[in-house]
Amino acid sequence: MQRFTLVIYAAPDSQASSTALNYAQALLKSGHAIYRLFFYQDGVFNACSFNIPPQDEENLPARWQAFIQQHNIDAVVCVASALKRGIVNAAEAERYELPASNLREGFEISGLGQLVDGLINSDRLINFLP
Amino acid sequence: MQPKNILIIIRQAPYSTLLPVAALDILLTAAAFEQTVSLLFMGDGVLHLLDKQNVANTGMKDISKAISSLELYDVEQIFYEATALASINLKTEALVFQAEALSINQIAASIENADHVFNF
Repeated sequence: MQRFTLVIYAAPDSQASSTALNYAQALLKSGHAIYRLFFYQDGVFNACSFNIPPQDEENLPARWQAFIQQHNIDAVVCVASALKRGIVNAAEAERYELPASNLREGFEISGLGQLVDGLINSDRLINFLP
Repeated sequence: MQPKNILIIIRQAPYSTLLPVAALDILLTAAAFEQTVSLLFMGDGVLHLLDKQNVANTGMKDISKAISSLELYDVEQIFYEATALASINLKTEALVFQAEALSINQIAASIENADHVFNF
């Protein structure tokens, strides 16, 4: 059993994000542990709750959320990347006086230090780039 | 806990995407957490080291300035792929920062020695 941290830099439209989710599911199925998922750069779009995909396309952010909640996984969204792209939780929405918040439940907003913490505390860190 | 040996490789040209900027952010954060970090430029990534970059009208920051200030943050291990610089006919005098040239064999060894490799 090894501990993994996955860093997702890719938006839901990118194959890399769906590969990351499949990889994460395969890890658990193989008896490995996920220490943390870290969503960075365009990867933060995977945590957006306002996405409405066409009916014949899958909703990857919803799949991420279901996976995270089902397995109680630590899922961190980089604060700088998120704010820049308009992904906010209720606290940030209030701070910046935005009309709504759109971070999916199960995800939390934090800093890049959480990526480095993941690196320190994991046997493997895997990057999923677009 | 023993610090981890982290190697960050940048292969993309500067200003092509934001990934090289992300790479530097990760590097500086890891250094702040007292991890052992090294930075290696390969392929088109060596263009980051060029002096006198003109970023006017790009809307982006001059990344070579961030790289030349890395020493201030205790990032002293900065390398580049020797053949990549030679293949675009650039001399070391054109560099903003006198990084250390590595052969392909030395690069293989540094990847082997790293606990974690980031490849951008």
